[in-house]
Amino acid sequence: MKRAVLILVGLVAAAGDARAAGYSLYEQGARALGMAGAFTARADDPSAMFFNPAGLAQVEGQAFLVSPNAIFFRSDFAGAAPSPGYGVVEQTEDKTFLPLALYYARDSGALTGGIGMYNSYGLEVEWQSPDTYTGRYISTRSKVRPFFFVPTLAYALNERLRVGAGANLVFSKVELERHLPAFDPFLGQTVDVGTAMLESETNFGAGWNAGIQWQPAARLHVGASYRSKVAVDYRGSADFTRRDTGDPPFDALVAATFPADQAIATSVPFPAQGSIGLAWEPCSSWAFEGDFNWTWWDAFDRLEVRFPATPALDFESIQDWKGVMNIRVGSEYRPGDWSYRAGYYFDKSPQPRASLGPLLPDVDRHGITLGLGHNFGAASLDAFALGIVAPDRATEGENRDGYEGTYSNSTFTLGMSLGVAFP
Amino acid sequence: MRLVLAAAALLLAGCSSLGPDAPPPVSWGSADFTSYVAMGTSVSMGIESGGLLDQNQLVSPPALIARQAGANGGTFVQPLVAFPGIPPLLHLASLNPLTLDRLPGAPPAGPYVARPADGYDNLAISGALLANAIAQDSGAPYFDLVLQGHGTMLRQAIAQDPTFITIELGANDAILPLVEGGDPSLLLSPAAFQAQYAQLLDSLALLAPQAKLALANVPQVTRLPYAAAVPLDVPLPTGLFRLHDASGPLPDGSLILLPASLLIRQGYGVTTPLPDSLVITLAERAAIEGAVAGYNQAIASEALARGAALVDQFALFERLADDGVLVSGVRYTFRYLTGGLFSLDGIHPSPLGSALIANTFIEAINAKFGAHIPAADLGQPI
Repeated sequence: MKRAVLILVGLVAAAGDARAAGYSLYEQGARALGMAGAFTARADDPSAMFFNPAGLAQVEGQAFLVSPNAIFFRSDFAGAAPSPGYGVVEQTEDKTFLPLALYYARDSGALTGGIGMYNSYGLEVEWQSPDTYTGRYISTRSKVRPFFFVPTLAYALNERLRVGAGANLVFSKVELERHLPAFDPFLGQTVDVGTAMLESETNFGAGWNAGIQWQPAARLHVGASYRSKVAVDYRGSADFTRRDTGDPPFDALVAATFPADQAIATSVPFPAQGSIGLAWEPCSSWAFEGDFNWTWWDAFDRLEVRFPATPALDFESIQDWKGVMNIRVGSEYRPGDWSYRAGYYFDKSPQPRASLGPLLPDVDRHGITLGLGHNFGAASLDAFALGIVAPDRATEGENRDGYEGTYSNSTFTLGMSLGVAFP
Repeated sequence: MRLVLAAAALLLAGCSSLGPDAPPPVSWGSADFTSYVAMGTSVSMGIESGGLLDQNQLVSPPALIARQAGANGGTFVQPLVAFPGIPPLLHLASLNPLTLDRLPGAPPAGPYVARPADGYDNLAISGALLANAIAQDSGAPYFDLVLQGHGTMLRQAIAQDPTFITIELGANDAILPLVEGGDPSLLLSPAAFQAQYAQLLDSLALLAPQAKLALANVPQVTRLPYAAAVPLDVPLPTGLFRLHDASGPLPDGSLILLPASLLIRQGYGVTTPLPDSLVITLAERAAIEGAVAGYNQAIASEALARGAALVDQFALFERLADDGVLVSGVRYTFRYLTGGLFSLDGIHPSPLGSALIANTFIEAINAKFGAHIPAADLGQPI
């Protein structure tokens, strides 16, 4: 296994941003990801609970699948006029996310039930040197990590037609940090008067998903799946920390009006996603699939933070994202116990240029994936690597917060799945 | 597995790095900045906080335009004045109670940059009315400081064979009546303004025919903190109290000029009526705002007729007064003292305000003449 993973590392030519668009994460099964996630029409293992719940009906007996992933992420920034100006460079801390997917399924004749857990959204953007970072009044750190629990049922109507549905029970937490500016009239300039750290509790939201798979012919697969939007309303607290500016009369003034720690309320949507897939198996050892996906990112129109005790502090960041498509194509060659996979996807950024900023700099992505799998009979092991070509993206004078420049995102993703089947 | 993660992290570190960006190359389009001259008022001169001081002159709108365009071979000559300024600049001694004093020290006798034989490149003069730019050749302190007995602003502009001229005139024709308490007899009629403006441009067309022009219109002067900052109501133990002048409580929309804030603390407006010289009544305000609209119509039609860039300072000020501006996530507003866009006198812009004005010029010049002059830096959080 170790050797197989190392081979995959060697195969990856480019490192780019490997997240799916926005803060969506598609890394929910190594077999699917080896084919760039083009799996909606054929999903037939427990990861169907993410890719298409109808596919769960193809699981026989009991099956257990665990899919750990490692996503290495970093964003670089080069400033432009009029602010922060040319010559400024910034970068985020290198982050390693370890999204994990766990699935268990068991059949009972035509009916199959399962429960899954995955992180299908998530992000953490933390800028280096937050005390001097030029975007620190916008965001120094943002983090969202939801856990989706998905009890799922699937039913095979006949040999060729399957349906499935499930609930999405989401537990999520959000953290936001930034610095607070004030204009000091004694100095005639803006000074840093403190920090605001917003942290929510782990809050709950719910949604549903459903899917269908149909084989109009033995070697032809059609599938469609839909996952509803989940809006999590967060309750939490804001921790305000004042810092002295070294200008005593001004500090006294700031101290008199500086906000106290208090409760907050906010909301971050996990938008609806839909997928349609078509797969063809020219012979038993070859499969090709193309998926067309749509994410209703228009749900992320604003990030609002409410301070019920001090409405004057209410904060709103317009996001105004657009719904976007992504296209995924993949193939699998399975001559024997070994499987070889490759895929490509194009993922358009849902983020308008005006919102491209420190909170979450998002870019278009071309993803190339390679995958390898081995079937041991009752067990299977799969691995994938994902390389991305992600063009740099500039705000071109349009940034809503007046923070102009070019972002370059780099990510590298590895993942594997271990599946075990028993009667 | 640890080895794999380390290898991947290394790969990431090696692949991603974005070097600093350089400003895009400057191009002038059909404009020509080999000999750039600025005509204007206190805003172009670099007056801030009630005085003239080099650190603010160096970021005056014309100085920034010249720097961004690479004008005059990189040397834009201004009558720079040493610390503490002429007169010494206002200084904030205390916010509560609001106390402004002047910087300590004696003001210098004059600028430390000698006037070049053909005149300063920045010929803007604080207090200059449109008519003064055409006809006035002396006067204390600023006409003498800039012109030094060699003729009017217009004449010295022409003497330099300018290839480009920015004209920021007209604001004083509206501000003078304002600071005098709204005296409508001081207000120049839009028709007279148009005639003077045409006369100025006719002279330039005749005597500096090669010069391309950028004409700035007049901001709505009633929105300056000097006129808009003092609230009509004061908090009294009994609740909010509407301030009075001789004719009773001030109706909504009246303006109280900034110097009244000291008197209000002494009870003016409550027990004693506010003096008329510190109140802009509704009628006075309408007259001033109407005049500004008329001046701007004249400037717009002249710009159109003469192929000049129209610099819409009016729109800039309206936008800033309504919403402020976000610069690297910091919102700056028209709020007096803490808004960041104005200096302590409440009339003249801060360095940031000055850069925003310069960028409005640059945008208009780029659009009109197909130039690519990069925007001036608004600075970064420090």
